[in-house]
Amino acid sequence: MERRLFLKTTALAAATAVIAQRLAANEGGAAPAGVPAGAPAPSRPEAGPDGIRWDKAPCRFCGTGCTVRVGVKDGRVVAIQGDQLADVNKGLLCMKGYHVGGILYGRDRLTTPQLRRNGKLEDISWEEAIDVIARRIMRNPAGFGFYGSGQWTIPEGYAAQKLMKAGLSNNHIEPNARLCMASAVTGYLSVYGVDEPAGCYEDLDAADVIILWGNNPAEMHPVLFSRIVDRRTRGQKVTIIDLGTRRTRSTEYADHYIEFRPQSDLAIANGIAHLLLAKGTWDRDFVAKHCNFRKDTAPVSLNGQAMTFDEYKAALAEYTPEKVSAISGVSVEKLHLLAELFGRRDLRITSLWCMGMNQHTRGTAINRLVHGVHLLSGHWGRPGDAPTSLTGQPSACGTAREVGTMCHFLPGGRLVAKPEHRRDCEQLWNLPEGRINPKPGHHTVELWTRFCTPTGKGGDIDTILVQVTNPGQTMPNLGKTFNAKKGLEDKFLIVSDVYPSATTALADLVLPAALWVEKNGVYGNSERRTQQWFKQVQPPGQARNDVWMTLAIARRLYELGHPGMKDRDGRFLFSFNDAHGHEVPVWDWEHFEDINTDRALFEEYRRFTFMKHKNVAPYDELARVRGLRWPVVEQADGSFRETPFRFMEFSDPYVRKGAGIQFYHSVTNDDRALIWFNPYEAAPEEPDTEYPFWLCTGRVIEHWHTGTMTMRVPQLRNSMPNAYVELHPEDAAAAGIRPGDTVVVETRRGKLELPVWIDGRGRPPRGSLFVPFFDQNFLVNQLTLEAHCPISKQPDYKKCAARISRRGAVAQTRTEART
Amino acid sequence: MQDPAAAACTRISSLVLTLTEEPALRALTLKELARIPGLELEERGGPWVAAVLDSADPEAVIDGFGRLPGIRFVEVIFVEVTEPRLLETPNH
Ligand code: SF4
Repeated sequence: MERRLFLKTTALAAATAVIAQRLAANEGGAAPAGVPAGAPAPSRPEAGPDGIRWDKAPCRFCGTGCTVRVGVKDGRVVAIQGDQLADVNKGLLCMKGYHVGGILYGRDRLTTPQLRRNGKLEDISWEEAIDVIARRIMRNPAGFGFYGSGQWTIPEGYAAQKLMKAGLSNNHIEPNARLCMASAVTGYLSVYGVDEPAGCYEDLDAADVIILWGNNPAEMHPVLFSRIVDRRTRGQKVTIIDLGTRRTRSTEYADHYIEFRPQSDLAIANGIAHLLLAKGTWDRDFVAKHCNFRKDTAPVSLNGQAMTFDEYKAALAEYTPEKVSAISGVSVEKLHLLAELFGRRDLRITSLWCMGMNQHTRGTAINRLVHGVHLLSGHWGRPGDAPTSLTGQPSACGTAREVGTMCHFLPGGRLVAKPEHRRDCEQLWNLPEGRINPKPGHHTVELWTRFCTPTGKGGDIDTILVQVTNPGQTMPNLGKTFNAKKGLEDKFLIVSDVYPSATTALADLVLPAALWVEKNGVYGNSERRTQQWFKQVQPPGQARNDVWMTLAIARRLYELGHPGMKDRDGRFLFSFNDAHGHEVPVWDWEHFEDINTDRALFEEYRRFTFMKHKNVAPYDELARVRGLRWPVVEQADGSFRETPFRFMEFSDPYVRKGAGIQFYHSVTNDDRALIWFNPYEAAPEEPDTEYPFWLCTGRVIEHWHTGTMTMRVPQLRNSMPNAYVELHPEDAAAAGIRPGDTVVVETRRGKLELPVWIDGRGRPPRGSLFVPFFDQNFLVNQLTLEAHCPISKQPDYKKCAARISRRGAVAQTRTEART
Repeated sequence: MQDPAAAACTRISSLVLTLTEEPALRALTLKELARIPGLELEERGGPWVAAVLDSADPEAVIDGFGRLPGIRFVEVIFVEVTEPRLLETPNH
């Protein structure tokens, strides 16, 4: 009971501290200050008198990157608290975050390596598992694919990247981040010449207007959304505009809800630009000083071709409010409202987006256009004036984008196709010249399609190792891109995970993984903030770190004689010494923790980050603080300074003195950003008489992505136990569907029976359906389309054509795929 | 006195409640809140009230806050992790 009394006191102190911060902010009239970047955090705290040891870690879930305080007693996580010293969340967590500790303790944790023999998974030793993988790779190194995610820690992703590109000369490595933010990447690259947002979360404190472009942060990034709503509580005026295709929880807080026809966001962005030019309210000075104009080539390419201002204006001429209104369904008045807001320089406007703009067959184009509206109107370069993408995964930025675990990237913003970038990496990795393969590997949809295609018919990928993701639930058009693996005897699927999943169901070899605070880690969040944590509890059974698996596979390949596992001097690729200069066999689990392998890998990776001015802080510095936003620049006194706002002289040390704003990685090498023209194009599959509904898929607040972790937490599962289909009441009435009925949702790729939810949390307009993808029992990706953006290769999960029919309430629901 | 066995099954959460600043409704809401078993409140100024909840079903209690018109916003900032024995496996 003493412990509970202490917990109560701690809990009350946490709440009162949040209030004290807010009151102080009110008195000063400023946004809550949080802790200055670089303020020390106790690196390895001692247990308190109650036996609980509190330590910091970033939340395991979304890209917001909240810091949690993890309370550990007797080797178990016993409490979770929002960290008041964290700038990101200032003590707050969302409902997923405050249950994050529970994800470690589901009853069906995977604890032993298992190999499928005669159709059944049987326990094997780690030694055998690693040997099986290495021999499989040795058979056909070019047919091996490595598939990870934005949940890979930075050291995990870096080790995987090095194994593949430096060791196997094989570029078939992809993160699932291809499915969630690749279009944001190509948007930033083609506008600024370098990836990731220039702004940060402080923009949310300073903006007068926040525009949600197909975005629902109230459910997907709740702590950021409460940061906005909290400003209203403190008497500040902040206008929220929800530009969406269905009403969501975010809509409840919006001043204006602007509903548009799916895919027509391109026309809306062009319509705003058209009106800015027509009304003369665009920012001539900003554009003259900082921008060039660009249009697509045929076929489309990342960098397109130059166009003049007059050509740009002419291209936009047809996007009159009347025409845009006809395409989008948005009223002429609402289009004028948007253009008038952007035309006002006295306001600060932040645009936020996530999957709605990224999972889009014209994803790169809509990303470019939204940046373009901000650049054209001069709503760029002051806190609160920012076009900012949010990420869904905790390290999509840190691991997928910065480490570059995609098939065409090398670490630190380099490209496999660029000879100077390959040379650079070969030097940093001490490789013989020519080791890195110049040809980009297969992007995600291609990788899995080829894996699911018989070898004799062009299926050149025969083995895939999956870590920290669940493609059996997330790939679009699962019948073609995942389930078709069934029966292909020469294909071999290796899956490292923490719980059984739709992916392990088809695996030939299952590896039990350590999760979150069962290992050291480093993540990079949506605002360029790199966050480190230490292992706090032991993983269960024989579960081991993903990074160890990669090192052990590399070592076994070395022992089997794979020449790529040696550097130019004949040393093993992953050779680390202890403080006395002796090599530590980190590939041997017994010795893995003899040194901090994460630290060694991170410091090696850090050398790659300087070229594109993405300098991450040293590991030891990150251990002290609640994350730092890159570029992190060492000061004369040896301290490290982070950069909240990039390309802006007041914040970014790389901007030339007196320049004000300098896009120093500009595509056109003249320090200017590009304003693009991209036309509106119809979606590849639109509703028709046979399939008259739009089908949109997405997430819910209770569950994180495929629910593998959150469905093991009873409180979260009880709050949202199963998937459903949302539809408009009039569509339901027209089809004779009543609440509680089961409905068959069908597309050209399959059908699925789902309980119906009418007038529930989300409210689609007439002619639209929404199904969340968290539920393994209702695999909605059997229905989705694998069509993707031609530049980012990111598929569109937000729109395809569907039809519905009533099946009546049935006791047992089931799924049925056509393929 | 609370039964110790029952207490072991409760979980502690802490919350920041944002209440209406309309005095009569605020007073009524505080009165309603005071009746909730296991909920302790601490007023610290501004529209906010710090709260600690010790309950076997905190989610239900927190959900119930939504029905009180004087509560504008609820933020949960601390939660005790469920005892591992209470965790279950979904029916896959
Ligand atoms: S899920 Fe996202 S918003 Fe919620 S606590 Fe975790 S990082 Fe923060």
